[in-house]
Amino acid sequence: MNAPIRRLAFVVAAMFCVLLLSTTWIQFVQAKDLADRPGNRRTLLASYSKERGAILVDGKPVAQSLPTKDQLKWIRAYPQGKEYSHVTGYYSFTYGAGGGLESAENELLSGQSDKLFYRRIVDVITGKPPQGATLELTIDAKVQQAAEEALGDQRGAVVALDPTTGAILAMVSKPQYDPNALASHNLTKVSEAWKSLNADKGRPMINRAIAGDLYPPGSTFKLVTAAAALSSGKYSPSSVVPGPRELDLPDTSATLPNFGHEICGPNGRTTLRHALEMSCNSSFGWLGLQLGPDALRSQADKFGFGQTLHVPMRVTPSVVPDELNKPQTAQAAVGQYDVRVTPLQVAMVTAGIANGGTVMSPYLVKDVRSSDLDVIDTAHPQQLSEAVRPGVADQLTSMMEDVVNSGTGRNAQIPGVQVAGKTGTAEHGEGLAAHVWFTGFAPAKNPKIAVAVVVEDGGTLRSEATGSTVSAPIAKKVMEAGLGR
Amino acid sequence: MDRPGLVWARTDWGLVIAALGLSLIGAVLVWSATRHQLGSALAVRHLINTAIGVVLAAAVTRLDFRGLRAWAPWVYLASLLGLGLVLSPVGSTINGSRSWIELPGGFSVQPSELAKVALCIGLAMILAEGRDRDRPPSHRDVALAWLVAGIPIGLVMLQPDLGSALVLGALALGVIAVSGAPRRWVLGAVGLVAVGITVALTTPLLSAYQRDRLVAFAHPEADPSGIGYQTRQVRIAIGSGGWGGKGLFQGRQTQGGFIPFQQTDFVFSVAGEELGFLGAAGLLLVLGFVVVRALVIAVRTEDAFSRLVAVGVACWLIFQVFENVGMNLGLMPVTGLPLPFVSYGGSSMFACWLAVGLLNNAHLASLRRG
Repeated sequence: MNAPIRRLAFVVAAMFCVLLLSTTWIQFVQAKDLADRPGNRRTLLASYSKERGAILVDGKPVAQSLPTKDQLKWIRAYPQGKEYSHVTGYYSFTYGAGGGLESAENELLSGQSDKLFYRRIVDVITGKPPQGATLELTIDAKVQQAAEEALGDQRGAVVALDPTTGAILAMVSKPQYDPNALASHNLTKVSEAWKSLNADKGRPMINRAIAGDLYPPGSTFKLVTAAAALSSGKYSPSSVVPGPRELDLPDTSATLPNFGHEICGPNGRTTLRHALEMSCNSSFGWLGLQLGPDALRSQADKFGFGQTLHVPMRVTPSVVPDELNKPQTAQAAVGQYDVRVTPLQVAMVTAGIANGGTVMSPYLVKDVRSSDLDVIDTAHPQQLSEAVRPGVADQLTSMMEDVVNSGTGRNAQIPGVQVAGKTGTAEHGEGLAAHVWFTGFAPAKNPKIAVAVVVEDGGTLRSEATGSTVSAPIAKKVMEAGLGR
Repeated sequence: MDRPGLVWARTDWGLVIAALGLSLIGAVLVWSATRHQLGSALAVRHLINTAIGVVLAAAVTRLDFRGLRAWAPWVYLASLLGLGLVLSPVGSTINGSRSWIELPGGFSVQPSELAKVALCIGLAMILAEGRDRDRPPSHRDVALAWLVAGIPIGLVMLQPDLGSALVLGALALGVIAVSGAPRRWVLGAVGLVAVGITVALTTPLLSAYQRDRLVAFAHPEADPSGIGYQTRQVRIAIGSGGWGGKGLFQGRQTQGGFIPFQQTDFVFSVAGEELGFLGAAGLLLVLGFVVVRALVIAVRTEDAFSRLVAVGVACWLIFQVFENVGMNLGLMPVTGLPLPFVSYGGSSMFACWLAVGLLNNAHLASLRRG
């Protein structure tokens, strides 16, 4: 009787083989074909039509999903339009989640993040449809608006930080774009908007505050050089340093001239404090040569250079080049040659000095909330590094006060409030107007806000522009808005 | 041997663990398929069904197989009664089939599932009489066997539940073939099935909804919003799984709720989409292992009755797996059959675990030889 069972076993084996083979066939051979079928669009619609979490600033939405009557069920809306475009990014049916938080926190906003696991279990048990988490940002609407208005139509970026926590209070990059144009359900218009944004020479989709091509920091980098000098223990603010009209660079016939070819002190000598106050290139070039490239680089790294941060958007690391010969070292010490920074990094240098030498990790999301606004996760300020000793930070603060009180940064003065800061005017090519900087914090004794402002190609003043004339007034308005916090 | 020891020795632990594994995987897949609509309710009920099934299997395992044989006529008659009741006003119609009896408390039973168990025992009883006297079953025995199989098959067809009727037919065919019945009976039955399918497709014998399903199988585009839509969505789901799948709870087709009856008839597509080829093939291998265990028990058993019971279970399970997975893959027409152990459904779960009990019972008979 075993023979028939054996035959039966063959039949059984054959049936399983057929099933395995056809599973293989569908999952590997036909898979592409099946995925391309129009029927699959239904699944896309389904994933899109789930209610996505909102992004809030001071409790008001800057990105939210509103119900629609069309088949997508929800449309993404950005009530402030362009102002927050680089913070929120866009959420488009055609192009997906991109730029800003829409992309960086897509998993939370769409409700798929592992952080929401327990919340999801509750939803499963209570039978609620899944909803994305809501993000409450660290942005202060008043500071953001001040930055938005002060920068105006000029290309550039503004970043404001709370120096004690690292919370980002404002992040503006210009030019901007209207994310509503990409979130539209009129797919033809979305496609047109996308093409024109990508063709725009001003590259409005780039967030210059944290990414993009990076900027030469110009004289704002003298803060790093000064920090290295004071930390070495060989210099104090009153140390006497050379300050000729131009510094002869070793191994070459080139020189490092001062702005306007001025001399920094009688007999070409000055103090470190005064050199910073009037942004004396020859003094800082000389200091760079004395300290050497390694000391400069290591001081920069302590402020956060070279690190890839996520705020949660990825921040391009700022760089001090690896190989610097002597002339290059002198140029790097005044923020030229191939030193490249993000405005956020410059703000972190200033915020570190403001915070007694401790740099806090910058962050943009204050709370993650469920759809009914229960707090799921709260950001805890974290220390990124100890850039300088508290004593050195105090010395730097006092020198930066002089810059604003009587030096290049006078346009950043706020009546009744002591401001500390530093200007920068970064040449970036023959015949091109300089990128102009200001970075500073206020009040100097009890800092509430630290800012970095960069305006590309001199802004509206073109080649007449300096950090003092263009950027300092912008920084002043942003700091004023942050003082009331 | 004391009684607990007896149960212990009777149990084919490989089989039980495989069946338990399938039931638990089933609970997870059912959860994934229904969590958006119903939360965890069905998954929990699936687990409760599994627990009841295990108890039933343990009870059957403890029965003496001679006792089982004595019970066979009554079990068979009870199943006929159940199938008759379904057709009476007591039965209720779900999805065009009159297959269920509603019980108080929101429960319902599907007698066609339990008829599979009854037919395994009934056929074995009739055909094993011949084997005890060490000769093949007579023509009279085989004719009686076909009659015994034919009545429930006919009743199930009347519901109409084509899938279950096919399973019962395959079960009967396998058992009769293995019993040593004269070859003409087996070939005759195969020929009859062939004629039956031809007739079904060419004459109005089948109900409209059965023919719709068969037509949809051949031309899925014919009815994109009905049954054709379903087969296509299922294949899109399985096709999107790839090698490792989309991840549990991540399948877009499954989570989007695009596949009606996914927790029952199309639970295999959840595995295909979310667990990928590895998961789907793994599921098939475990199902195959259960069938192979049934056949191994059949080969090892000297006792003719136990052997035919084991063969019956093997034929039932393999055909049902083939039909169910086949319709998920578009190989077979959609006939509304659960995947053994894995699909959501109490009656099916109980029937499958009763089958495990029967196999364990036969397992003891195989141990006796040595």
